[in-house]
Amino acid sequence: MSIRNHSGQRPIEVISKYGKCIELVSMDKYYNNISIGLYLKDDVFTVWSFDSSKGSKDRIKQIRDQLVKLGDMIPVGETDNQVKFACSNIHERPIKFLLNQAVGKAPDYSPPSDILTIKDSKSDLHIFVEKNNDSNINSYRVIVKGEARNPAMRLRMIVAGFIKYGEMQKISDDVIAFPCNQFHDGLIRVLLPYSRNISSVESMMAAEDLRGQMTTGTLGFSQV
Amino acid sequence: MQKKTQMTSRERVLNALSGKPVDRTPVANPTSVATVELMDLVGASFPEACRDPELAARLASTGYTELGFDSISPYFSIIQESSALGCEMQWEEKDNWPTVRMYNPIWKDSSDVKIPSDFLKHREVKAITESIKMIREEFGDEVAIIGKTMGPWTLAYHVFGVESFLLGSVDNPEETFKALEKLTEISILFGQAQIDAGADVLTFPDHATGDLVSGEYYKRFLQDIHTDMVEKLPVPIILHICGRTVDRMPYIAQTGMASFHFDSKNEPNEAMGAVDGGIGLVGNINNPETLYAKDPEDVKEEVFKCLDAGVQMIAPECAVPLATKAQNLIAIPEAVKDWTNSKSND
Repeated sequence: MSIRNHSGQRPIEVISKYGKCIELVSMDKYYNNISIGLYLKDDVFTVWSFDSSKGSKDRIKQIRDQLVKLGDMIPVGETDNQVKFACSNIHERPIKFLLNQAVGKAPDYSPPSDILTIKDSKSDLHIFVEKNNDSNINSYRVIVKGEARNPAMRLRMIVAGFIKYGEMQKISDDVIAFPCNQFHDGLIRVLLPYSRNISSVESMMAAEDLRGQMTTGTLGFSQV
Repeated sequence: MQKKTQMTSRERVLNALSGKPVDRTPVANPTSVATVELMDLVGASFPEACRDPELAARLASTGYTELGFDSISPYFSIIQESSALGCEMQWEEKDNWPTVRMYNPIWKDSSDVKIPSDFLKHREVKAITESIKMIREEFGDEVAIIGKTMGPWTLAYHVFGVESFLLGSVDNPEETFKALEKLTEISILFGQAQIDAGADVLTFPDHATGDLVSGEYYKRFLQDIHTDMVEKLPVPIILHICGRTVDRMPYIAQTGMASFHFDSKNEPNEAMGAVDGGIGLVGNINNPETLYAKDPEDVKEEVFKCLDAGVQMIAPECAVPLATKAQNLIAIPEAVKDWTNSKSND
């Protein structure tokens, strides 16, 4: 076989058809370590892999279905690889976290409960997020319960986490909303673990970004 | 210098490297443009694609067939020779670069430097030479084939360990000269094998990088060796050194090499000034911030900056991050074509 031939769609065709790749997961541990990209055209997200092996279509459908289950997204028409948000907004930053969960969690993973809560990672507080529609804005109120040295400060930091990773807007000290003014419980659930510890999330993402980079540091040429 | 009639990619690269006219500035990849997306596309993933000639050839070819670069480079990493010399390897997975475990060096000093008699038959060496043959057979004279042979400074890091080698260069420079001289034989042997296999050009990475080695150190230890390479390896040579290197560019410009592959830590304009026409430049699109993390529009802006400065060949500054999105790499040749069209319309 000629070394220049392959059976898959060319990158330039994929970009033309599905738009810009907004997130790329290098290896899917649940299927042959293939890479998974999330492409965006208008308000439609497409899950894509250049791998053309027999099982990759099924795996892409699984991931698409996880985007629906974990992120409350809507499947597009008769497709097996496309989704959108009901609000038709993009929510580009939070959907990157959502894709990483959809690929990284087991295909049969379901969120533990409908209640939006998690234990704080920096104190004994429990964080709760509740729907709120004061002033006709569909927003979320962040509540912390339990013992901590300075709960008000922790609350501010957690709210800042939602604003940073969810691209949310601050309505008041404890109330936040998505720019579309719609509820997205799925995204809130995905963002909860990240919102509570910005510094460690930043370190984790920096380490992740460094993987696969060829630099004097990663080559070991700057250790002296 | 622009030429009107359309050239093949190979002609474009070879002309640019010899200072002859080109129809447009070539887009080259002296190091690597392999990514996880391209690995999936052609079924050739790391680390196997670094060890198997057909997989290497298939993956490397995508740089030309899918991304639109003017060259194909099947040596993706910097470890092939060191593996053949017996260094302990960490092969990693698809999404990371294979590396040499330099904390466990194989040699102590120059007297240990010996080239194994079967060096050219070693799997990691043949992966490159055989892949070059396959690429030549498939593409003929259509596209430039860029091989790669590590310089003695890089090999020294691998076989002696970084710290030990650098300290040795301070404590016993004569011994360092001896080691470099012997290691250079490996660079020549592997480089010539790639030329024999069909390589048009050789990249010569020699990591006397800005953060570890000064410009004066470069002049003292490496300038003559690099000058020698021009006679010993009869194809255009692209020297690659990472990091801030403006302080050594005037010395590099005197080596007679065809081009210097420069890092984004050096501004295109200042680099052009530093080499002052003594050597061509290839580079220097930023990897970690631009190609990896930004959008095609940002990539194009960097390409335009290089072209405006007169950089003779456009390329990523070093081997691109393996998770680079294809769209950002495709944007490089697109930008060159846009810029060329805009200039011809002026």
